[in-house]
Amino acid sequence: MKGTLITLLFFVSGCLLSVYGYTPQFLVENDLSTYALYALMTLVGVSLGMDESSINILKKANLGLVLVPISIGVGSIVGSGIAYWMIAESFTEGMAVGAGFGYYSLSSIIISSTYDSILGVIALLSNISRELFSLLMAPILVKLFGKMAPIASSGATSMDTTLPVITRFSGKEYALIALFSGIVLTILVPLLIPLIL
Amino acid sequence: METLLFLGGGILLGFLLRKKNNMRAAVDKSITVMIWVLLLFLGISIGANQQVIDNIHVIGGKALVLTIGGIAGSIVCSYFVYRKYFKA
Repeated sequence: MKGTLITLLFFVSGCLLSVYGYTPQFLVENDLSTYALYALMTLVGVSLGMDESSINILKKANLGLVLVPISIGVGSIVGSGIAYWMIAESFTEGMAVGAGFGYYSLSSIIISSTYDSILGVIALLSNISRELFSLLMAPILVKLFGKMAPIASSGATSMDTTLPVITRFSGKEYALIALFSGIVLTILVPLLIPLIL
Repeated sequence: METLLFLGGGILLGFLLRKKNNMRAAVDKSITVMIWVLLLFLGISIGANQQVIDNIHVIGGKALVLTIGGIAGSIVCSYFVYRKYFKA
């Protein structure tokens, strides 16, 4: 819980710095987050490469492994569609936002440029909060629903931004499942959204 | 997708360093710190987006409904796969 609050504090601090214009100029001019992500990916890779047991889970479940991103994708699309329909909005629009799988940059760009800009902003917010929720709630999701739940919640982001927390709370043996699922879902985002809308 | 190149390079590096057990704690601590840095950047980029700030009260509720629906649906569906193929 302490870790969750510290993590949240960094995010909120970033929002406040930016809203009140206290962001250091060099941060605005240079998009350092890309390089920070590269550094993080390398570190996660090193952590995985040092762990020799993580390969073994791939030998255990082949059909199961393929079914992970499929079940997450179907559940995400249908779940978002039903939720949106329940507040008297379009089932189809709900499915399209759900097919973003947390990949907020790409999904919001596709939706706003090919369909509607307001729905694009909704997709941006919804998928950002999905990533944020997954980062913050990973330990609680593992306790309530098992080790697969953070991977499901993370969607496409389980291959990069949320991979470190999944590795930490589900265990290193789930890192390759998260990676595989995230890669498949990331590839599906630009394919599924135009098909749904 | 280029992030996967860094991941792949890291895995190779980690594999080469796998005998150095004293490095593991430092790598894990560095991962935690990088998560903090990236969340700070994510917050900065959201705070700087005027379109998000202006409409947040109108569209935020809709976005939240979609987030909850998507997360709940994916957890429920994948739980069956987890029970059948993964849970020891």
